[in-house]
Amino acid sequence: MSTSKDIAKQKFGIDLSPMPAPETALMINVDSAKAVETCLKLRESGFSILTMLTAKCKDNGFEMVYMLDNWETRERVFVFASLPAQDPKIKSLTPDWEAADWLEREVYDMFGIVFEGHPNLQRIITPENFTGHPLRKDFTDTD
Amino acid sequence: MEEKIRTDLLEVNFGPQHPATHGVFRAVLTLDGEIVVGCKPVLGYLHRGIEKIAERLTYQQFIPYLDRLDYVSGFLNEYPYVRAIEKLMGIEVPIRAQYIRVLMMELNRIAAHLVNVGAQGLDLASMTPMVYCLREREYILELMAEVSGSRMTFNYFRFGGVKFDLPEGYLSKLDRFIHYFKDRLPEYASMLHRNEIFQARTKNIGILKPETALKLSCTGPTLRGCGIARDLRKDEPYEIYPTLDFDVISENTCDSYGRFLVRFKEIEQSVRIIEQTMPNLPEGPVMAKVPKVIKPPAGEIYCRVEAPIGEFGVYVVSDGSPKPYRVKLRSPSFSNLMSFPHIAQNISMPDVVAAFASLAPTMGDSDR
Amino acid sequence: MENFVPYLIVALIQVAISLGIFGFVMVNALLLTLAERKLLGWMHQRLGPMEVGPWGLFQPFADMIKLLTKGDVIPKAADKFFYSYSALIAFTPSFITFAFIPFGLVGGIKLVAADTEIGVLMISAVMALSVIGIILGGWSSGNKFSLLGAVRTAAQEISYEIPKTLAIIAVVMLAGSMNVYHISSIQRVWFIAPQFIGFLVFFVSSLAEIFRIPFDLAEGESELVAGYNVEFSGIRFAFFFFAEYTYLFVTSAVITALYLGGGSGPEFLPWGLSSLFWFLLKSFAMVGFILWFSRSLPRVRADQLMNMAWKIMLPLSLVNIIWTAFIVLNENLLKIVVK
Repeated sequence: MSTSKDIAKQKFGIDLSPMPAPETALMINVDSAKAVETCLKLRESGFSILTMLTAKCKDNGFEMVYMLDNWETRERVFVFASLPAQDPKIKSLTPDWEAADWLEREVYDMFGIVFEGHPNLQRIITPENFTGHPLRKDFTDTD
Repeated sequence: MEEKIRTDLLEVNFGPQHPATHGVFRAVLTLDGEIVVGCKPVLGYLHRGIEKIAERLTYQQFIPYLDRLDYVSGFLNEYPYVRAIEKLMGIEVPIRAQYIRVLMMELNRIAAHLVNVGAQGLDLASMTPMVYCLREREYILELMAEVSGSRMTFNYFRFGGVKFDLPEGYLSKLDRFIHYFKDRLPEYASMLHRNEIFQARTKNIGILKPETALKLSCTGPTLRGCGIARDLRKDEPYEIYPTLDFDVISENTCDSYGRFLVRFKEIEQSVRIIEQTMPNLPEGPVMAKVPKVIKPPAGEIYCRVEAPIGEFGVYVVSDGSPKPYRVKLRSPSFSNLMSFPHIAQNISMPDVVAAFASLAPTMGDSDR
Repeated sequence: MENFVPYLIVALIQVAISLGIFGFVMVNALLLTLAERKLLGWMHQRLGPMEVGPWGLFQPFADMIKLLTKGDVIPKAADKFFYSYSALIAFTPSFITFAFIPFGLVGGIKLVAADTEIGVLMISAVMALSVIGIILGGWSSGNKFSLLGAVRTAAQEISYEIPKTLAIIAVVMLAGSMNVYHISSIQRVWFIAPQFIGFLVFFVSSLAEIFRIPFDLAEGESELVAGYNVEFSGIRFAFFFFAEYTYLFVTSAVITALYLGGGSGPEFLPWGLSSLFWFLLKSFAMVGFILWFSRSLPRVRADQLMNMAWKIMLPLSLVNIIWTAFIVLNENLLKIVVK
């Protein structure tokens, strides 16, 4: 049985490298414009479950983290995509992959990253009239 | 002359202060008569910013907060975080501690499933099984409190093992409880899923197709109720699970009944696991040698566990300082709840309640 | 002026009797709440109320004082007139039904306030009046949940009134009278035996009429929060509450009179007090049975409820009538059943 890693390499030319130890998953760094495309290609390669979608602050900017799962071959892949600190924007995965819906809304809520093409990009955890994005490192309590 | 009766759609707030929303979930239901034609979930009423809190505390200080996520399964919430840090730091956990962890996690799974199974009955207005389930859960909570010192918010797992060893005579107490408990299970079955009204209320109600479940990344009993036997304890075994003999339960009815049945039968499997764990419990230390200040090397890791609701994962990013740089909690309730609008489509209002209960979300878990 | 005095005395006696019955209704409803909670507690392996008074005995009185002294809240969206009086409309009929219940034969006096020839019919008719209060209450609250509860109530009551009445007709055929006292005293064999199907139909329909689980759709706590009475509090809620518990007793009493031989039983007390004793004992046993029954089952859905009424209960009650006709026409059989 060929692994999803091989399929991704052969079919789409996506080169997955192993994560630094102790994590046993695969990873790939992509340009933010290509993140969604890469995820969808990986999905066709067999990473058919979007387990986690989140973001983190990194080097005065943000980094999107997508984690995809292949349950048959027990492979995991992390897709990282860097975003600038000012006006972070990325194409939304939701129209193609429903599991991303609330997860993207949560990231929008917490980090203020705008997902272009999301059908219903509203705050999901914090109240509608909340200002600021709590998980940004420069967030201060607003009371 | 024919006159048409004009009917209006009715918008009803299901929650957040509704008795059947398992906390403070809210859904705006659009009703046509009693049939739900639209469902818009609203979350966040129990948001406490636990992920942000993590960034301001040291690694050890954050453990108690994890108990407050899915407040009925504290041990299972603590585990993946503790495991993630251990992996980052390369700590080897003593075998006795691993056994105790599995023992506690399975006890906790029974307790959590009892609440969810009972709540399914309660949401169908059958109060008695709920009280019976809570009665048994009370014994379990006391057993867990005897080990950890607390009934629900345990703060028991440590990096490198567990806080205390089992108290003296604990296993015989546990053994007595398991014997007592096994006799009780048929009683619940007769009051719950063997009851004809219960079946009429849950069978073919709240259909979640396997394709939809996969598309939405559902996990746990919600997924196994669609006939997909995915259980992290088997698929990505952690601790001593590879040595244990148990079945992964799945039902291919894809309805509320199937999801309920998975939960109910998993209680029996957890009992089996506990029975296998108890006699084999090895002697030895329960804590590994761990530095006083927990300072994992820079790096990131994702660790997951099969919680009662589904896959609970913790994604930790460390920058080498004594405080975590970022902790993302992948909560099963949050992902499973995404399927609620699909489940609640075109069924009547009372069935929405039953279908919601069959997802068994905990709002503390989904809102974090 | 002298002619006026006897009338006055009669009127005063009647007022006293009414007050007596009123007192009985109130105390009965109060004690039933305690009984239900205690019974439930035992079924759940807990104690029930224990705090107020010895063994929690004063709990219902504490509840009553609390309900009566609560502030009177009328929601903004409510229709004030109907909101104010719907509780009374629901409660009053429950009180009236007591007039037709034959408690027994004590000292040669029939303990039934209105010993009419149409007693059974009256009980049925008066009980059905309460529904108007419930529907009005649900609608006038201006709450969507209570409106849904009220609509459900209407559908449910209309559906179950029919099989229930048909079950009563079979009993009337057997007894040859609509006088409740007559029916209860004529039974050589308790009518539950020759009328078992009828009893089942009557029992299930009654549960549906008094909103007990599995048929408590009008209140449906887990789906409609509290159903028709979600906006009611204080004394108005108390009236709905009393009506519910009174009907619980009335239904049990009617079942006792129609199917369980009324006050018949071994006589061990003077002046025929034993008939009163047996009647109350059977009634309260029936109350206990209903509580037990309703706490063991989940709730059905509205469409399942309707299906059951029209597809199962109605045909069953018709079969029962044919069976009863068979008994009535066969004199030997009839002699075994009635006196």
